[in-house]
Amino acid sequence: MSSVGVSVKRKDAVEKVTGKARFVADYKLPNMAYAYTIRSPKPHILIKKIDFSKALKVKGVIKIITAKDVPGKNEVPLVYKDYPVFAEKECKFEGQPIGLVVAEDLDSARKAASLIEIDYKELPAVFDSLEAMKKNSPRIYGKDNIYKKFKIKKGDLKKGRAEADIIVEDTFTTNYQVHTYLETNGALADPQPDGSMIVYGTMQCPFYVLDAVSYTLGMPKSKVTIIQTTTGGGFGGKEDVPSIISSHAAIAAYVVKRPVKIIYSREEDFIAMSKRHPGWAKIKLGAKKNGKLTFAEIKYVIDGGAFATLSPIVLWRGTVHAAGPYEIPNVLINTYAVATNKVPCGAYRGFGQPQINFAQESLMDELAEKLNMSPLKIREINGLKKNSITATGHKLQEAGIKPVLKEVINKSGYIKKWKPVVNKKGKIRKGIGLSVTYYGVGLGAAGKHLSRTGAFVQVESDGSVRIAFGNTEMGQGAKTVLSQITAETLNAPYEVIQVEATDTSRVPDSGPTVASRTTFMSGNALMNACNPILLNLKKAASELLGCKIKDITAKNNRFYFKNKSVSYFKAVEFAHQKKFQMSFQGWYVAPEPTFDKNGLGTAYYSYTFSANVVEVSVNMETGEYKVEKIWAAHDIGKAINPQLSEGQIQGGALQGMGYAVMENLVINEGHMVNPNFTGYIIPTAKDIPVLNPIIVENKDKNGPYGARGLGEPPLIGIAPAVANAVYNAAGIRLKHNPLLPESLFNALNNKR
Amino acid sequence: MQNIEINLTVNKKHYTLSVNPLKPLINVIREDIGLTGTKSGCGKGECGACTLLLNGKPVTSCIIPAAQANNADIVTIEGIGSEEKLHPIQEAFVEEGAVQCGFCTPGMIISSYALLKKNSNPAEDEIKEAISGNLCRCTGYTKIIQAVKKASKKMR
Amino acid sequence: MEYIKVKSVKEIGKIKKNNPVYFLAGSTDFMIMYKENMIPENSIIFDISKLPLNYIKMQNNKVVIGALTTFSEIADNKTLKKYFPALIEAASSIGSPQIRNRATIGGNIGNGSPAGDSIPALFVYNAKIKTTKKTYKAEEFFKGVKKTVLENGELIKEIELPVLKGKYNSYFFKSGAREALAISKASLACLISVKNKIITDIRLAAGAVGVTVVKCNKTEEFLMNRTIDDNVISSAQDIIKEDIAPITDFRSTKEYRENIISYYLKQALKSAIR
Repeated sequence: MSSVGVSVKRKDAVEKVTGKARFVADYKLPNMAYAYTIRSPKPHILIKKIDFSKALKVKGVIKIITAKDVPGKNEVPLVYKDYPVFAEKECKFEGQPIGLVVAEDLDSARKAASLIEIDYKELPAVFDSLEAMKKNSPRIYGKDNIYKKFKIKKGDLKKGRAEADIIVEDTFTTNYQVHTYLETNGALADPQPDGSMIVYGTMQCPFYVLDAVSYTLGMPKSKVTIIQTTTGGGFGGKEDVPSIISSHAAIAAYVVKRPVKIIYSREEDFIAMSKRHPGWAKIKLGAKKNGKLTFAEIKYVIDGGAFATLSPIVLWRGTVHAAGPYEIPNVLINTYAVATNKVPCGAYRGFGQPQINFAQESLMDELAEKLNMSPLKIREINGLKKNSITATGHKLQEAGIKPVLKEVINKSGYIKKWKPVVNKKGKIRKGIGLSVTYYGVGLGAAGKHLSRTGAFVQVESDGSVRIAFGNTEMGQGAKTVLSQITAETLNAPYEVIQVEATDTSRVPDSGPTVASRTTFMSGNALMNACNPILLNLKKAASELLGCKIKDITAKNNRFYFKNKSVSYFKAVEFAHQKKFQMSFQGWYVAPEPTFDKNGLGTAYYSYTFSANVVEVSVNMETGEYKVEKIWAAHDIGKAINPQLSEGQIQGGALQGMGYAVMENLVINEGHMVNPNFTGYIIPTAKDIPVLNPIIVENKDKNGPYGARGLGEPPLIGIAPAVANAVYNAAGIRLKHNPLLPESLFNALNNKR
Repeated sequence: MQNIEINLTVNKKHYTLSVNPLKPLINVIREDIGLTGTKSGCGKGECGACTLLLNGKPVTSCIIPAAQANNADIVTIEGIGSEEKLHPIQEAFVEEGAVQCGFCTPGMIISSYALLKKNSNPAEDEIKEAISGNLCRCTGYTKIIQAVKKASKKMR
Repeated sequence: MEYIKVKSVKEIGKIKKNNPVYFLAGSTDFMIMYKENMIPENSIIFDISKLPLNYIKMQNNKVVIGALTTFSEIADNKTLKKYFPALIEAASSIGSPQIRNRATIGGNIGNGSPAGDSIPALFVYNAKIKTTKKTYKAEEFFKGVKKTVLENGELIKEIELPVLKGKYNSYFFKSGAREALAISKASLACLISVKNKIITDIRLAAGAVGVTVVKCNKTEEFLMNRTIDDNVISSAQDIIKEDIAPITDFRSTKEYRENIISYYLKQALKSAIR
């Protein structure tokens, strides 16, 4: 193949290396105003009154906008509609938006905001998810503070327990993770002369934003256009919250009748924007003496913060994957997403899996030790393989863990390097840890109503090609990979493909850019648009070469009949002359997964399997440790662009390492203590381990050219692999993530 | 506070501006001069996205007051190369897959440029040190380091 | 707020007002405070960045460093590396290359943070801090978190480091949450002279484990003139925990900080007798 499978240069690399790529903060429109958000000063308050008088006197202030100015509904449509655009009386988390100051420049807006006096009464608040589930805790949501709960019940738990020779049980917790995309959230709303509204912004899901802006403006969707600007990182953090900011900007623009730009400061982004849910999990695993798992009993709770946002679906994915990539005949899983008076949590790479997989992959190692078995052996014995039945009763079509496990074990030299912890000596000890995970690609059964995507392909008479699709580029390489798929399918050179900005007026609602679904969904939609064009190109070629269409072979940007051929460009020119249709819309609907009331079904149409090996060295005297090397193998079916795939694996693995080793957001009594880069620590170039990406390709039967999703899997298994490596080195099982050196030192000290 | 007049050279072009002396240099570059390639990631000098060269040295422009750019020679990403003629560092970043979302990229290239001016054959540790003040959340840094190595080869 | 660019130190003395005075040098601390609205409206900002206070020179058995010398310049200086390696180590660990190109030693001292990485090294090298008013011993300069002996409008001009005679080992250790751009959880500067394993001179200063950088007097007293062996090291490790007063905050815990300081001490003592 000439494009697919080749590490072509990114479509957007040159504009990015020259500084020409335009992010939303770089846009300047005539008569543009700036808005700054007024926010709740405390975690749970009832507003009595607000005095805007001093603020209104500040030079440059145009208008102050509050809930009463919302033209449509004062609710941001996310999964539920519990998040107000602007709080009216009650605020449920510190930082919740109450209104906007719109001014000629940002400094004036900020100055005015600081002069606003809010008279409020503090209400009882709850900051811990387990506390919030208790009967006597303050009510934040509904009657029990539970946004959502799920249950998976497979087989017979009693039987499974009885059959187990060894049972292990433990409780694990994980803290927040903050996306820290380098570009903060922001939006620019531009009201049009005909009353319609365009909103530009950094975002992953323009169609979610379309829903929100039309709903909050009370405007029909056809009068609202959302255009995604070059997006400086997302990782899930720009899945839901752009709906809020874009609504804010659009409402302000609507009211003041001028373009309005809102760009969040880093601190604001920390305080108010989405995060990875803190997790709590209690897991029990039982196995026979021969290592075969007989049951899994899991309770998993995620801390959703003050509003539901995406918690119900984050919980669902976590639920489906809670038992790990293993054959377990008897399973009981109970999961809960809970309301607290803290910043609402949403999507973050892994989407509910990293927390529970940290717990479950750690416990697998504990189980292995009790069975006197290596961590590798227990996984080999129980790992899912083709035709295995998953925890939700899904008969697996994929190859399972074996191919990735084999690769990662070979490349890391795990077998030679692994020694049981009892044999470790010395002040600096080395350890090696393993984890295996799987990831259902796409939105799954819980999101199947969104599982459709549109695309548009237009071949110009000179052979250049315009494409538009509904998913977004956020650095992962979507523009490039989708261009490669298009080029391959059209038998056109990669260079002629021109990608349009993702614009809701260009393609129909294509769902969100999440769940590692883009290559799969948009790739297939583009192929659907390309196929009829290819047919017309073959028709053109067949007329030029004097044969039947079925005799034409398309390859290497030429069309062949026996030993004659015409170039792609010639075929295009002729096709245009003959008035063949050379532009088509594509539409792809994913195979529908299922999930019944017992949590059973074919939850996802495809699964990406992964295996990680981590090497650490531990200073037994101080608790300091270093992650030295990571090997990460992912079965992605087909790497459309191997270099980009490696980049995803390396980037995701380092984010996973940051999550495990150093990223610690501190919220005390609902107040965020370290909302900045000084206090919330992410890895620098000097902190990186050797990152070895391993691409495994067992083709997916539905994916474009056999490809499957890769965006999220690279992060998921790192934390448990680190925890397992630390245990292997030091004999200490750290059950709270992040695995801080302070925690290790404390445990080592207590052991002495 | 009263505005002051500052004279500065940015990418070989002279500017005379009247600014608040404490206006952050990045805002002068982005707003008064109109060069938006330099990015603001945190506003506190903690992420490196706003890195540019001030008298040949890489600095975080978000915490430099405009007054101290008076008589300064500044180079931003726009001064390193253009689409028509990419600098070898820019070429290497493209070739090695060192660019993902692109937000850290201008600052990262400036820091790399400054390194290669001082040290034409840096070791891996020296590269890591040179970019240690530029945070990247997408790439895991590995391909960026490879790109700087490749650039140093191209430039020798 | 008033901004005044000064060309000579004398110009600062001329202004006699009761307004809070700030000195703008590298501006890495100042600009953050300014952006967070922590600079009072009636402040006078003296831009001293063009004063002739950027130098490192040898002057009669002393090395003098001008207050405007940046940490990049300090980290690269051969004279300082020869005589004051712990200061080089500290300077190289501050912030990032971009920060080091701007941050000045005068600013690091004037900011008076107990986590100011250059300060422990100044303690152990018996540094003197010369201001427009008088000359202070580094150890007497710091009073509390971001509190120094400086009066309003008093400017740090120069740091003086006496060149030590004889053989000595100096070390600087820093514990941070990551390898760069890290605020210290705990740091330790040590100066140790040994002869036949007997300590003839010992100076220890710990950073980020108290409201100011702490001179570890009890530990120094214990170690002075003692022969270094495992028992002595072990005892010293216990004593240093009494000299310092670390807290638990969101960056780290009291126990971790105590332990790592004592660990650094051990490393220093073991290295000194190798």
